[in-house]
Amino acid sequence: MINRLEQVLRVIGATALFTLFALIVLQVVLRYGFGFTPFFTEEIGRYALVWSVLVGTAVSVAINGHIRVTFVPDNMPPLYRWWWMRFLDLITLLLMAVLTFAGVQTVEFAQGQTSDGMQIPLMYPYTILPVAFGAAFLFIFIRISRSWRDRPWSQNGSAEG
Amino acid sequence: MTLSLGLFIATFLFFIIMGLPVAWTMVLSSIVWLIASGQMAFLPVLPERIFQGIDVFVLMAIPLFILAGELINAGKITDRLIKLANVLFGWMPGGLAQVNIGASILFSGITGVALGDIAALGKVFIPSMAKNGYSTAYAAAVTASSSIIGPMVPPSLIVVIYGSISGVSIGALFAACIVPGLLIGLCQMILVGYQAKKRGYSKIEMDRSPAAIGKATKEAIPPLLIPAIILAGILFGIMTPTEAGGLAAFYALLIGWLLYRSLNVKKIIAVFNESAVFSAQLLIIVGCGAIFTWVMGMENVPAMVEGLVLGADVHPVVVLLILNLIMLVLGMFIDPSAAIILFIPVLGEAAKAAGVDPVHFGVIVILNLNIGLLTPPLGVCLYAAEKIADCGLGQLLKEIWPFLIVSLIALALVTYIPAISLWLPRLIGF
Repeated sequence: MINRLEQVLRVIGATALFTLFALIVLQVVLRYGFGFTPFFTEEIGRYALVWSVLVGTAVSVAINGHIRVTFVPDNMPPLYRWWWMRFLDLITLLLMAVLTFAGVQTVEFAQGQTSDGMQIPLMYPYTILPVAFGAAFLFIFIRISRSWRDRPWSQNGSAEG
Repeated sequence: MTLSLGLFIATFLFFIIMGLPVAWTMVLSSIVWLIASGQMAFLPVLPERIFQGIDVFVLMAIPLFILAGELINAGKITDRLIKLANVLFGWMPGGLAQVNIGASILFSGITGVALGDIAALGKVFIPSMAKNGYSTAYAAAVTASSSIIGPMVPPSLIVVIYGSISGVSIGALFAACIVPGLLIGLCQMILVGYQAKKRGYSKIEMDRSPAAIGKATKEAIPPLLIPAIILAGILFGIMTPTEAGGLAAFYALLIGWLLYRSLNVKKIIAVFNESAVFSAQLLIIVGCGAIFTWVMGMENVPAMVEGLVLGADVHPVVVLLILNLIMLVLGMFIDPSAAIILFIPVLGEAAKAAGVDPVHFGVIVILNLNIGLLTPPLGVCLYAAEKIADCGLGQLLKEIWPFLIVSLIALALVTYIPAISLWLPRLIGF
């Protein structure tokens, strides 16, 4: 189930990036080949970028791929390191909960507002905020549960972070 | 300094050192600031700030540059560049090590990511140098050191990130980084030449007739057109960096798919997938950095830093020395892209207050943070080269220090002779 969610998010992220790529190439071809710039490429491209980034952020939580400074945790004794990484996971879980909740509020506040260029109702592009942070919340929750199941002092445990 | 600002800085420093992801550290410290300053009503604003921090036209260039680099890596064009480097640089003492550096210069024009350079060239050069009498540690040291040329010679991802964050013209930065990038390559080649004479490393014997040079050049032209498209497009003001990135990615797709037939639909989908995730890991820091910058703006931090520098009344030479030392330490611990997003809004103010040209300062920052890729504890290029060479970190460190000294000399020259960076951008009208 959770792997399926990661796959779906990966497809959305790659599609959004492809959309951005296609729009920019189209813009270059039309501007330099035919002398006009389509009005929609920049705005849709920017929304595609944001969707790709936020969805990729959730995937990066799933694969534990976010950029961090690992020097201090890497040099902790294994058991301390295990507990410290779980503490950081808990902080991330709380932050994702806050951002999901605040993201829902952002979508609600955006009701009735439209974008400056194409007059797109802003609640549609903003919908990705609670979706991506909600998915990240789920991923980090699963990681904490799995870590606890495989805790170092259990039968098949591991002290890896 | 207010209590809320103190708590904001303390939370940020503690959690970034202790390993919380950089993006979440910025969100956490901003929430601590909201609580401490009694402004929790702004909490719902945070996701919107993240959205707006990413929703910026020039940032679209970053995933497109990453995409172009990934398509080129997947398209296996490395062999053609190595052949050309063999012809151009293999005649010098320490031929294979010189070719390693030369290939990095050619390759840097294609991807501009140091780790990409090590992954592509290290797997070829380290075993090959070991077979030809070089120690694996020396081969790894040359590979790791030359990889930092990549982020300097344009087109380079880190330059796009610096320009996007600081507001400095990306075209001017591209032009300004060319000479310093080549300077590092030259310094490393001189060092290798000296070491080769001392250790008896020979040049490469091969056909260097005009016909052979012509053949190698002809084969390398399609990939070498990528930096040409980007540079000509941006430097002559024909295209925006975003458009140049898109066109470069499109061209890389075409040559990999249709000309060399090394890309298929499955590989292309995988490249888009990986590029999206990698871009997200960088750009979420930019998005969360928007909250961070907002808090610093509310606390008037940039003006405080400016006042501090002006109040200290020290010579710009001293300010640059201090900034260089700060960045060398930052580069030892933090990824260069993250360091730029986090600290340039503040350090840039300090440099501006000291009267340093913003383009010149950008070059110093980019070079300095790249040297950090070679220094422990977070020298990612060091670890990547060691992983391929399997020579032991201790042995590698013994071989790398002369290259570090040479890089620091290049940094000092770039820092204190602004013309090295500014001559070319001024010449073409930036």
